[in-house]
Amino acid sequence: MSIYRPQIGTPLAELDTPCMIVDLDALEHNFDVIADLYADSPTKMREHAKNIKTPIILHKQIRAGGTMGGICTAKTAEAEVMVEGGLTDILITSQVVAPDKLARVAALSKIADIKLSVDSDGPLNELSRISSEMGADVGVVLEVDTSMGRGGIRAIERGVELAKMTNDLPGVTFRGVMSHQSLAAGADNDRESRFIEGRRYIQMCLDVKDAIEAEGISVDIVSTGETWTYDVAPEIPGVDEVQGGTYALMATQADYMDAFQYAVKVLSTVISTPESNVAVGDVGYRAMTSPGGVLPRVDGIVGVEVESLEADVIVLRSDGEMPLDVGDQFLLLSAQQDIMVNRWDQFVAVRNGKVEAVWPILARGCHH
Amino acid sequence: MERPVFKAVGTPVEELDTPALVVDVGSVKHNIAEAHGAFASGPSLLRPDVHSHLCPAIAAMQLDAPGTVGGVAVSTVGEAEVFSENGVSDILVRNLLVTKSKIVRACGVASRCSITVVVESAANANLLSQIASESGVELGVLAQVKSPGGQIGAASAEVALALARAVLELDGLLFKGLYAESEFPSEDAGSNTTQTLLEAKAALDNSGIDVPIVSVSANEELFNSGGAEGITEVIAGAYALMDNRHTAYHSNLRHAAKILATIITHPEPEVAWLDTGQKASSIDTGLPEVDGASGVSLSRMSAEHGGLVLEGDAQNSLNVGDKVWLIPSDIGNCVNVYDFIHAAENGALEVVWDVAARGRYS
Repeated sequence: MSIYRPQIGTPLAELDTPCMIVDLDALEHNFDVIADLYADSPTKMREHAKNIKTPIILHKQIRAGGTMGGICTAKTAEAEVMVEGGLTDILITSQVVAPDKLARVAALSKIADIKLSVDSDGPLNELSRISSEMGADVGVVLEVDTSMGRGGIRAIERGVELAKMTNDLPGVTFRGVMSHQSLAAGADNDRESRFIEGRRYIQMCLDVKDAIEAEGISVDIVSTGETWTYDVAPEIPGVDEVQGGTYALMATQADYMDAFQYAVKVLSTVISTPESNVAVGDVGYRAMTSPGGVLPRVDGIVGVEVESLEADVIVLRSDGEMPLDVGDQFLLLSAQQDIMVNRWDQFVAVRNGKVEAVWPILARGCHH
Repeated sequence: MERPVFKAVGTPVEELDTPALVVDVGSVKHNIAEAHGAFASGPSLLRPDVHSHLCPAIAAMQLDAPGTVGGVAVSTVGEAEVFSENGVSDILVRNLLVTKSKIVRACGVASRCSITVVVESAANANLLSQIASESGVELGVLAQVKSPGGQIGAASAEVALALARAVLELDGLLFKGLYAESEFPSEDAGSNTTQTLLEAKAALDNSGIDVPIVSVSANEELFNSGGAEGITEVIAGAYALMDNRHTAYHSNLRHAAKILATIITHPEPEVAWLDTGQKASSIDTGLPEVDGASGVSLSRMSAEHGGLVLEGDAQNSLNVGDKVWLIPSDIGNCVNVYDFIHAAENGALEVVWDVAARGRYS
């Protein structure tokens, strides 16, 4: 395998492109925002590994502070990679139903504190059967749907039923409740609107917690909130942890979260200038992604816009004369960074215009 | 890297760990026989575009079949490195190489196999010549001609002629001919691209310049007709595995590649969610389509999940744990998120192929 792996100290200008870079100053700024906000709060960050897929970066947030010491993953295979990467407390936020995969979850729970998101009794019974047969104990966190219409229980009573059921089953331990909620596309995203919407969604999860506790079952974990509610959640009593992901690397779709800086960028080179105000770069949607047709954004060059994104090239257009010539480099910001990160095998970490580290994205492709 | 639960050879494909990219080998053979058969008897030859599968095992099947030029096309130097390491001896790199580091790498590959690159300017040809000469290798060169609606390439036959003359003067470069890229879909643009190329070729012919290769990529019309007079090779790749966006153009080909997904929650009668989302399918050109399940359609995908809408009997017959097959929209873009292809014959796992060139963007 011949992966191009630049030497430490290589200047940005000498990197082969396209190249996905992470700006370490920006990354550390974002981690410090979380560390500072949650330092004296009972609410802590449980960073989502699905966005980053790289244990060393998750360890950096834990060392910076503000976390509960663990992380989330979206999938079982991601959790395995994270445990192998030294993470010891993991909440798997998607439902797992296949017996062979439940066995992997149970096996992991023997070497780390593993919690699995559950929303129906069939998989819960299967998890219990497999886990108890293996002599394992898997934490159960009930997912609450707060209007995404995806996984999660729809009614409070259903949460109480599943919590009681978990308490009666071997091989599993009821641990708490979780929810995830995107801010609807096109919704107002100013601070006041975020707080109103965020409180509403988070309260739906807390209502399930209250109903379960009213039945005498203790709820250790309320895991909810994400980047757009990172500052809402700590103001609501009862929220233990926030599942933030986007904030670490940032993406243009979360541009309104202006406490955070863009840490992940793609470096591209102009390969053609077919017109005086047009330049073609050497990266396309295969490496950048354009979910929902949303185009990347050129970073830091006023008057240059992305006109289109093809499979392997990007077309830029400028207001006046194109300031970029063939061979010149430019940086792009992603619309949605976690889908992009999943298409790359390494982060080239950069500070002051030079390579400081190269980190393999160990959980890339761990969709299962 | 992807890390599925690997199952034993012979395992029914429905039992594979999901999401899984599963390829039916019989359908690949059918597609290759159909496509290559047309070129074996057609006016042009086929140069398989391995950017559409990134998989050396499939490239080997294509190069073993009749009707090819004996080599492949790739998009990047990184892909050329992988396929040359896997025994391919003739590689055309379709994207312009303008930086020193990239050209040095291309020359490295050229010391082990035949590499042809594409140019659109004399300045670029000069840089290629300088580095090839220093490296002691020879790079084949095609002059790119701008197709109607395209961005890159010589804007007229006269410019292409001047470019060819410049390349002919330079050490380390072997002028091989002309290249143009159609836009997908190319139903109408196809003949225009052919015309543009043939006009450029006539200008070179009239000046006594030998043009052994006239190459067109991404052209569905030319692909279906086995090429055209005056066109020596057609570059195409999606035909081997097929995808949704090519269905309308190639009714004789089968969907050989599908994603196996599992229903992980069924919270409402008409709603179910798959364990397969954008990350495991790539939706830049559109959502995948549900295959072979009536009353089931895919309405949206988030990063990790696929949202199904269930109608009629499907609301009761489908349960958590059941499997659903998806046909991707853009096969190259989909294969690129997997490290492994599960190759099956008659519904049973036969072999696991490496997607060795995935992620080689540079």
